[in-house]
Amino acid sequence: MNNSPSVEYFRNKGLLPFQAEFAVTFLAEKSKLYWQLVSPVGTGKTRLAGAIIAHESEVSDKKRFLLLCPASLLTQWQYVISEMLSSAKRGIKPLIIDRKTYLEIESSVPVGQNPWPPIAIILMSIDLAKRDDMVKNLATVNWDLVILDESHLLKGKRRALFDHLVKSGVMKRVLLLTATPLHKVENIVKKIIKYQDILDWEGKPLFPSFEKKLIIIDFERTNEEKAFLNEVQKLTKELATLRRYGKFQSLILLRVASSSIYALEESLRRLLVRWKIMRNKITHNIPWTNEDVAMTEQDLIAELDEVEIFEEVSNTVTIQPKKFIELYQKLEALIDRIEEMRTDSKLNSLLHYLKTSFEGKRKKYLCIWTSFRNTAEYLMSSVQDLQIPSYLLTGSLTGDEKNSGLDLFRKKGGILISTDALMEGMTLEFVDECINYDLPLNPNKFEQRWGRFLRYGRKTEFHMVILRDQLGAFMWEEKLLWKLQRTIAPK
Amino acid sequence: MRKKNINQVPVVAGEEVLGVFSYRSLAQGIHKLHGNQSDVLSLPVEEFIEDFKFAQITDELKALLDEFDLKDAVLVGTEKRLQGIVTVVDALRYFYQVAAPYILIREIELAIRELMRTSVDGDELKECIEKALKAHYQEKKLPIPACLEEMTISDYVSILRFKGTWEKFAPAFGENSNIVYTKLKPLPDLRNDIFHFRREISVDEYDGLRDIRDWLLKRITKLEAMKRISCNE
Repeated sequence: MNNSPSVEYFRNKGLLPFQAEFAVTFLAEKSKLYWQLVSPVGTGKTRLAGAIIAHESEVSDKKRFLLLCPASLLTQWQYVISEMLSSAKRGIKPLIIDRKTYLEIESSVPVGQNPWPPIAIILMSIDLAKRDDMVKNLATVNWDLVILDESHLLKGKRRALFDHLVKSGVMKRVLLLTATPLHKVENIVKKIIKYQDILDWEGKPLFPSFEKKLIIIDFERTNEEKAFLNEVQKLTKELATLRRYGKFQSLILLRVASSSIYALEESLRRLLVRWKIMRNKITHNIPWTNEDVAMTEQDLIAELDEVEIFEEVSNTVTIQPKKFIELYQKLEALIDRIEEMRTDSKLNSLLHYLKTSFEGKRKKYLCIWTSFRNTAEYLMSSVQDLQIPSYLLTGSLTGDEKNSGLDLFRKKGGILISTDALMEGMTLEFVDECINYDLPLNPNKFEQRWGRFLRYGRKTEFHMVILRDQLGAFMWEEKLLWKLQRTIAPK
Repeated sequence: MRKKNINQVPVVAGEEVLGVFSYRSLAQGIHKLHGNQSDVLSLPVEEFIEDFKFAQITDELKALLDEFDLKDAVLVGTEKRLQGIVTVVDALRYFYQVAAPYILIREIELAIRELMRTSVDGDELKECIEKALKAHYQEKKLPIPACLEEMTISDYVSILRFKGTWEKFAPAFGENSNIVYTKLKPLPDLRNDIFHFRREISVDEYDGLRDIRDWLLKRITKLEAMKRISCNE
């Protein structure tokens, strides 16, 4: 094949004009090392990078690629790159490296020798890559192309990893992908794409300006629920006084509490298992290890099925034993209370809305969007009685499973329950409504959700639906609603 | 040995195994000295080794149980060709790994039965079977189960899921039927995957089973405590 890239090559790979032009420029201007592509969410950054990797691995026998992204996106990346490579007849396969697979490839080479094969597409979570030992290992070989997805998350240790790789001079080309450029990198070629710039091959805008329509459904919690929520907030406030360790847990628990009672129960139970170990250590005067603290955090982060990733908190934790035991007992009592709660007003109002919404409709496409896997599973169990075809798609699915689920939804209609991580890369221009079962902390992330639905090919009206707690229990939800109501008139 | 967290070390000359050095063999060696040697550390290691049985990889584990009981480990291979050491903890780990999912499923199934038994008497159970299971079994032309012991996990979940009879089970399982159903829903498939050796379950699935078991056992403890309180009143 011809070594110089052409727009036609990328068009055949299914890219859009702006993507093809960027890919051609990026590959042609080899003297410029660092590149950043800033484009809104849902505009095909993964496909573009996949096509660049496919082109490069087709024109050369020996290429080593490294792709760093949040862990929840690894399978999506693997799927897209594999798809792009399918036409190329090279035996190269994108390989997801986690701690276990790394140890396996490391043990397969003699001691002291670098474990990275000369021809490889390595996909790795940025949080694994930033660990001290891994930073050193990655800097032992040259990488022909390093792609960093969600590069606005380059902060703290993740930024230190990037700086170390720059300093070591092992990255021949670097491509940073993001929707929100925040962190400066010297001598970088920056390309910013906006929704209105994105055209198809016939010159038609892919994201025409659709009117945004919002439906707000108010629900009122029972007194039992209000009292319970009050107790949860008290606990999170007390947790937040435990330096950074507690602040982090407090924030996540609040977010879970705002999502669903089931997700909260599961999170509290997981936390209790970890805290039991820590409480026993206090009782027997054994100091906590870094792992005790890290495991609690990892459990909580694992509940979130979204792209956002968190910086780990400091490992030095000083907590008064008496205070910790007190909190432990409160946590136990909260779990007992959840089990005896008779009503879930938020769920009931959702079920009522779904029932009336599907009544007498021939075919309808409705999405329910949540940030938590446990909430998604809870909703899936709960909608079953409605006798409406329902599909649950979460970040734990492989690319094939995700696509076949989506195909069924497209064919039959019904309810698609999904998480943030899975929505990555989805085009849902046929969906009639999206119910946001919980709201993200960052208002920009909510703004980006519209982009999945309001795009070229839309033939019907679209509504974003928000369930509003009349109690106004969660500050960020209130702020977001206030902002939305100022810009979009509710239906 | 302390640093590497090991309890026995084979002692070899060239390729030949002379014996095994362990904390026990060291203690026995010191005991045999009868206080004749003040500087134990200056003695050669062969003064402190003991003989271990050699097993072959095809040996039945049962035949080695006495040896495990006596010395905590056996050597694998021959005196001229040592292949490894199997300790009691190695065997325990292996059996734990193989047996743990089955034991968890057993405990879960028994706990569900216990909670259901506490919730309904014989007649009420018949009513539940009639409402929640009968149609399904008739459609499949299979005999309808008459008691909890004849039911599958899937049957338990169907009965608990059935809205018409849920109220009877709510005090035992918790008030929110959707929460209970979400917890129990993966069980039938997981149980079948485990018992029909279809695949190895993942760490997350194992943790999930453990969480369900712990939750059910806690519900039983709670129910028993409430019964005691009401008896005392």
